[in-house]
Amino acid sequence: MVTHVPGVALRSSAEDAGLSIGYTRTLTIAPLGADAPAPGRYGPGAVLSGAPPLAQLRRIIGFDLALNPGRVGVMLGFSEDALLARVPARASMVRRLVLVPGQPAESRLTICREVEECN
Amino acid sequence: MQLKRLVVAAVPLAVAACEPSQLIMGARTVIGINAQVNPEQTTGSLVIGYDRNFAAIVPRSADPPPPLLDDPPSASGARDAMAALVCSDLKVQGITIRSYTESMATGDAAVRFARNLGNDRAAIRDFFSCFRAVPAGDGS
Repeated sequence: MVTHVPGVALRSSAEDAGLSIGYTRTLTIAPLGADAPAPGRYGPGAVLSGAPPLAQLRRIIGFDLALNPGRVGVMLGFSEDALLARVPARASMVRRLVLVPGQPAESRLTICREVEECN
Repeated sequence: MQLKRLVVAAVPLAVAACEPSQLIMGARTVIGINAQVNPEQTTGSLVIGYDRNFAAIVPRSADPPPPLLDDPPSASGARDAMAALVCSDLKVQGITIRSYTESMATGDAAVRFARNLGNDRAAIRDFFSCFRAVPAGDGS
């Protein structure tokens, strides 16, 4: 899903908390769930809840305040943050991620148990 | 367009102390002013201008697992934190990511995959692009 937020964008998840002022565009690949928004484009006011994203790319023009356990900081200007993989150490899986920020419909994540299932 | 082809070979990582329990890969690009600290590691940085990072945080410890396939425990008692095989292809246009493609196998699937490297190379090449021949002119 893609969100476009001109103005103030608040991030309230524990691992990715922060606030940005300006323009924020976020491409998120998350597991489909009952409380997750359907794939698509969203404007201001969208609430991204549910499981943590499996991959995410966020561009910010303006000011950003990050308040994460691993990073506390401020940014003024342009930033592009990409979470490309987050896999538990004990996981056994095969996955293929295609992330195309300019064409979100082409982005996809496939997770399989074995390589043969993903080919 | 700049093409970066990155192959992170994956080998079991020896266990150490309590460290990240997930494999995390990410990238960050900043133009402007960026000041940040890492409270967990008591480090910080100040960037004025341009900065780009591509990083992987690898687990250095894990909960006691069942042994990977039929691997016996090592004599030292060490165990693997994680086995992973990753092929990624990052294309950058100007200062932004144009596309990112990643093929990854972890855990038992990665071990099985590595063991079958010599048996079924066609399937490996199909899935992991970095096993294919790199055309002349592409960076690697």
